[in-house]
Amino acid sequence: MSEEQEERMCQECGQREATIHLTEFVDGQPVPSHLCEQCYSEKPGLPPLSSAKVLEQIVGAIAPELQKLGGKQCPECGISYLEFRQGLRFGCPEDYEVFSEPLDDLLKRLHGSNRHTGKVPQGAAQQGSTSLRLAMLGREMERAVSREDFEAAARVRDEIKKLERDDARGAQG
Amino acid sequence: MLEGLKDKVGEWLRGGPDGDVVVSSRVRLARNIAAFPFLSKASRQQVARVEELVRNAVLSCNLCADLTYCRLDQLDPLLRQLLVERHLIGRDHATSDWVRAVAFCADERLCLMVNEEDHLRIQVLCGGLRFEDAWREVNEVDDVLAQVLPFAFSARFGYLTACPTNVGTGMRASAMLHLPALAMAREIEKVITMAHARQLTVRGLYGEGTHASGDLYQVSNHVSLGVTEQEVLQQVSGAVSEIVSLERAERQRLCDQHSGELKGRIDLALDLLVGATAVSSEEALHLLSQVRMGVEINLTPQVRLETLNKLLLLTLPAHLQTMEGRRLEAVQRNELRAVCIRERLG
Repeated sequence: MSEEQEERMCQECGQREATIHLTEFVDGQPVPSHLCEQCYSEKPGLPPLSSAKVLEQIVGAIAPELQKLGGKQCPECGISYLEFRQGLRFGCPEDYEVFSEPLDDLLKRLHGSNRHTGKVPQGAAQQGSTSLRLAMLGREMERAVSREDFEAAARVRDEIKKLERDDARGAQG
Repeated sequence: MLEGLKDKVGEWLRGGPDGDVVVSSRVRLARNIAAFPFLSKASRQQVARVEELVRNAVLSCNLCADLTYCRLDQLDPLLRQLLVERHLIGRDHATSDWVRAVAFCADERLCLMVNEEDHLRIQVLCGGLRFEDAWREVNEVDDVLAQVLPFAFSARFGYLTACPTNVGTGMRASAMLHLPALAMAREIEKVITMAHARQLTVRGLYGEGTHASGDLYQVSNHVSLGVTEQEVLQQVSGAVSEIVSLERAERQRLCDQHSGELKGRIDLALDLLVGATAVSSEEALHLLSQVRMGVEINLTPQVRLETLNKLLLLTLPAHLQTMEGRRLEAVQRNELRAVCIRERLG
């Protein structure tokens, strides 16, 4: 993805190098846009860029979802939400939970829904994957507690409970 | 070993139900291995480890007789291109540079892509309109592999994929359609609008935008979350059936009102193909499409649909060059293409 971005020219003026890369959705298809700072700043309705706060401004302007998240990162793979929105690729399965709040909106726009209603994997290997996820969630809860973010710890604890409930329900068939 | 592919015909090329309009149906499932990052954030070692895990699972599961497993990063670029032309791998899978592979059965119905955009993609390709068959087979393979590979899955979001456009069922159902009459009548826009209203995508198989070389179009779902697998199949299948009816109606109208002109155009296309000493790929697609319509409406009984399907592949660049056993310039390819066509249609 970065190779494509490196030498791209602004799609508005075609003269300056594009340094701002966004991905929007039109009819379920990802539509990339690449702008230089000047054309970006000339677009109506967007806040002006200042060299000191460029990232914050872009994050604030792209969509309300990004404003909420700021530079939140996945503790497992390190991807930030902005990085995800630029390339439209997640770094690891955990990202779906880490960014679940803005993801709900994005999924509704993409699929008209944010909940899975289809097939559930059955098979000897699948139990293992639940326990792996539980282990990861356990680590996340410890991290939240150690930085005294008890709200986050409570959210993760709820996730763990839900996963254990779903898992038990799945086992009952 | 792979070169031998050029002498074989994937089972899907032999045609199937509604084969006069629907060339093929395909169902693909995207899966990732739990506890590994997706490809964009995986280290080279993790990517190699995923390939090893999936390879061991695929080879031990006895998925079909005569399975070929092939490391793409170790393969000649021309042979990779050959696999793209046969719809066994996508263009990106051919050109990315990490450890990745493809496995396919002798009849080319079942195909598994390892480390394409996701760790594993399972695909079944059938001739004609046969979504239920394709789904049954791909679902079975998914179940068999789920016995040995832990898939990244969440109760809330479903099968977890690198791109959220695939999350949930991880399913893409698509059909390849031949729509020369609708294209001639400039009705393709209407088809695209109808498809969009049902959350389906229509795009030309070869060519840009709405101009499809060879009048070949692909219809597929883009919603994979919040729907069951059966609902996706019904949506795509239903829309395809309607498009088939529209195309047949338009062909009938052409036959009724312009039969002389139509026959003239088709006969001319056949003459050009048989008599040419050089044919570009664009010309070949266009002329073969005319002849194909002739066969589909029974105006050209001397040519078989299977022959045209074979030619669809054989006239593509990597196939031509593999036949010759060496790389060719465009001019040489155009001449070889003409020979290839003449041999089979003349």
